[in-house]
Amino acid sequence: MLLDGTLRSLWLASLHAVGILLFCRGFLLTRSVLDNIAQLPQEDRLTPTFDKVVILVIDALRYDFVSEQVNATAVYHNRLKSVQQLVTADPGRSFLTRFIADPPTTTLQRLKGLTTGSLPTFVDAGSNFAGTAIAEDNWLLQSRLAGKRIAFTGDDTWQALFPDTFEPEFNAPYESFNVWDLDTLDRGVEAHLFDWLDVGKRNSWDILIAHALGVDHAGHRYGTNHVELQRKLDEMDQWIRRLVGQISDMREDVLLIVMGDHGMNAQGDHGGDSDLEVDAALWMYSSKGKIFGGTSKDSVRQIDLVPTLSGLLGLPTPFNSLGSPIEQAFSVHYLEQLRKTSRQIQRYAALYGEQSDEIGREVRALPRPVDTSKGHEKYQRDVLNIFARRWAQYDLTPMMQGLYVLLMSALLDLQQIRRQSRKIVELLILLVNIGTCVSLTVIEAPIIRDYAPSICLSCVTAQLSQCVVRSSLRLPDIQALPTLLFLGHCLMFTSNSFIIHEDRIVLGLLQLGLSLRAIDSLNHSKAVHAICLLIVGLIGRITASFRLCREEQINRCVSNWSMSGSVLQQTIVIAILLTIVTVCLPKASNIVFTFLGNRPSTSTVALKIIMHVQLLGITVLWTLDSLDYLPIARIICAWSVVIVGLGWALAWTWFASFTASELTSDGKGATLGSEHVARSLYVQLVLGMAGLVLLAAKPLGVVSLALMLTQLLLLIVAKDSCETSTMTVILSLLCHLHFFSTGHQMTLSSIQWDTAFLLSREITALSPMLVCLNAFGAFILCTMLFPAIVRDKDRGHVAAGPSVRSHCSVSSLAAILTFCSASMCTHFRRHLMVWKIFAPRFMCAAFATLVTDAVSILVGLPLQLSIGLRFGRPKRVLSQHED
Amino acid sequence: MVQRLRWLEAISGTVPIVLTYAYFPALIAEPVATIAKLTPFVLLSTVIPLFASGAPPANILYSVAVSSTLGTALLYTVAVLFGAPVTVLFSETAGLSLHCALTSLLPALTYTRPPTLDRLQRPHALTEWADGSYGYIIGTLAGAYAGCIPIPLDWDRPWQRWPVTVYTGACIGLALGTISEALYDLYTIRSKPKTAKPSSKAKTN
Repeated sequence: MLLDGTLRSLWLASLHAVGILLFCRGFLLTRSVLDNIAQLPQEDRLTPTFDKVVILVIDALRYDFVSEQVNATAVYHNRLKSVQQLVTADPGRSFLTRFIADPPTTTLQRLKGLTTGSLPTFVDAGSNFAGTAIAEDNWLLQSRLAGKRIAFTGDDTWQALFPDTFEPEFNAPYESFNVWDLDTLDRGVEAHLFDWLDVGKRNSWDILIAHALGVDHAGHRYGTNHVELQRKLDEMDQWIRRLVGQISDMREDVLLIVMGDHGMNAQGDHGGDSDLEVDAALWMYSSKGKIFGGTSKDSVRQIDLVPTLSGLLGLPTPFNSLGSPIEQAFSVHYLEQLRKTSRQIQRYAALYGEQSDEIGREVRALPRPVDTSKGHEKYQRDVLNIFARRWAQYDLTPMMQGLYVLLMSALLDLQQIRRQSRKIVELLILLVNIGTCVSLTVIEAPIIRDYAPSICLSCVTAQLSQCVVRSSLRLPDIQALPTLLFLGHCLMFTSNSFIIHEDRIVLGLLQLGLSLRAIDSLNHSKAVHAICLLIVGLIGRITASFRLCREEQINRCVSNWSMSGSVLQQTIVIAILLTIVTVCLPKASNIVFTFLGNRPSTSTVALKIIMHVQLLGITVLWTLDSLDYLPIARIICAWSVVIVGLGWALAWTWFASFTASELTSDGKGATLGSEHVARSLYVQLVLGMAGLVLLAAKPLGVVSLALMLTQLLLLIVAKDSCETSTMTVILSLLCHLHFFSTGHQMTLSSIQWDTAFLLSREITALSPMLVCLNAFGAFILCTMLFPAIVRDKDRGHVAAGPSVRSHCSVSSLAAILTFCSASMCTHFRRHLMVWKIFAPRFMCAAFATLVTDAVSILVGLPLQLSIGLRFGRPKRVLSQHED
Repeated sequence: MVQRLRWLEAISGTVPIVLTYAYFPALIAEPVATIAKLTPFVLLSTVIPLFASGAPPANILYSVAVSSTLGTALLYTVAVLFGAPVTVLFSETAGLSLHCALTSLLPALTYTRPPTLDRLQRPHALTEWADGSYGYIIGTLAGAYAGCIPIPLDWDRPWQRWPVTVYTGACIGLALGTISEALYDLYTIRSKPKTAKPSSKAKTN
């Protein structure tokens, strides 16, 4: 009987997961990869222009870092003097151009584009954690087939993409993900690069690739306007100077390519498609003398490197490539090279057309290219556009299935949860749902892929119709205020402008709810409740002034989330802020406990100590981190916070029994009832574990989350002022508000990846979890504390079925938001902003739903077991609840 | 008599929106100066029905003083709490708060004394206080809240600047609020003989 609620929670959670997965299947675009390897027909054979190539990829090398700036204003302007001098002094020998990236501007996606010449589709964007080997044709593979030896040093993403491609003795990959470290990778790359260029070793390779990350890491860590970026750029300048010198010594004809894989935005991050992020630089230098020509074009696309490099090395262009040759690189053979590329693209389009009828038809409809350079350029551009458009083609069937499942799950969530079917039926449906999830994610067999959704859909429909037939489908009474507030939040998805300014909208809605409730409380002479609600609103306004603006907001928003000032100033600010939190948060919780009528007991004292220890650990951690000092001590601090938090959870189950007796009477001797005891105990459990969540937030995030805990505690005091539905909506708005004030935005580039290294120095299984904790900390805390913020009138929730209650509220609202955002994604799928605004918002909503689901199951189960067993099952309350 | 007063309120309640409509280009160009210019007329339009209602002039003067100082400060705080900027655009927000205080708090303050702390101990103290000027309070504040909606849209129109939409929203809300209150009263007075029983029941409750 105790497991009823958990079963139900699991069942709804699996339904959410199925809906989200189905929707993603149709929405996140995919491209079919052709495995053909290009072979060069006799007529296309071209003598190589160069024998050797040295490629230096400087991660996040933006065009304006390199190009000459007349009015140099920023620290990064005019640092790469060597390139600028060579371009102006010796124009035919080298050229510099804009090198436009196809978004998403993540390194993994860029490397794929730079080597295969194909366009990225959305599906791969998330796999930045572990790059997987490239299966399709690329110029590294072609070089290997032609017997060229490739040397590599730098970012280990290359190693993941091209295993077994590099010469074993000329392969030196380095860990790339740790953005705290500006120099280790670059030192290693420098040593290997110049070692291999030495007289003794330069004949053992034909292609040398070096990928330096210092510039990118400086941007991520310190932002663009920082001396560290300047230092790294100066270092790169030195490298290029040395490289040019070394290459000029060599007897063979050597091509040097220096390029960025993407740019960086004003905050130093990348991933999106803003002008600054896609605007990389490409510089080619020839040791052969003046062989490069001029052009009228302002920029080239990154995929254009693929046919260019293949042409210069006399290799076949990779089969899937859609790029055009770069005009400057072929001053003499440009037309010839264009013809060759047009033929290659025709071959590719013809074969792809066999798989996809629409593309085949569209490509066949194109007129044959006029045999001039303009004609070929136009033809290649047209074909590229056809593919780019078609790869933005959604699969509507799974999208609609996903929307249907999400809608049904929302309906099932929303009705007051009560048992209406046999447990065995529920169990069966749960198994079907889990099976569908697995089949959608892991097994790709078409028969399962096609039938699993239908089975799942019919199960949901059956369940719902059963509810209707038994007329137990009762939606909760519609109340004006929560409906209005939540509708406001849902309607926000109808416009990209609203999504951009969601942080302010959420604040406005939250304040409306709180102030109306406060006025109502005042009207019913509950001044204490009114004051609590007003303080909650005040704190909400204070936290809302911690802002990290997204780029679209920039003219109406000032970012103050990333701190300015010197390292020492920042450290002092962090230390002071976190010390205040350490002192005040346990104090605040104590005051609330006293206010609720608990006299000081063993557990309250223990909780205070535990909170102090955890917060102290967090303070030390972030202070050390700001000083960039003692990495081991940081990790030890983090682990001790985790251990203390988990230890508290274990100890809690043990002492809950004997504290219960202490808590049942207040100081005046009155008995407070098991409801109250259960609530107090539960709040103590959550507060003791809150350190685990606070740990993953960055310093200002810790302050924001601590303020949120205070707000939640105040809401516990004022719990009788709102109906459960209003409280749920207020909580949902509150966690969105704190999502923003912990330095997040609904964009990919605002994910705080560096928190992955809190508990270890390498990527481990815990790292994704830490990033998740960091992003959704506010949601997790709200979901955990929700069972305690249900008013006394709806008695029995904490003791009887916390997981049930908390499930059918916070995460059901999250699921409805996901549904709204998914349906708006469907509606706006041809919108200009779909990938920039609507899709990230949907993904965030989907993740929030899954996280809140997981938390309510994880927290609900032990809670129910312990409290339920401790106090027995309150029969009266539950039977009331069931009818 | 009451009905006639309601109609007077409704007519004078439409004055601010008519003025806003007439001065809209100026309001966009110079919000603060225009709000300052319009405020005397707004005040006049709110005060005329108050005089007509027979409230003592001293009482009205007192209410004007309170709502233009304390009331403005209160609404300024509310605006900031709801997300208005704190460090910049002070005079814009202050002008808006003054306007809203005059059109929402002033009538209620004149008709009934604001509840003291003692009165707040009794239930429904606030409802009793606001009774009779719901149209003003709810109309203005809800209108101002709804006026925030167009601000984030990316239409790049000059009228999207702070606080033009909120000011306009408050004016529209005031007009709608006072008119609908007049209509509501008309309806309830007309249907009074028919629903005599329920009203007597309400009294006993």
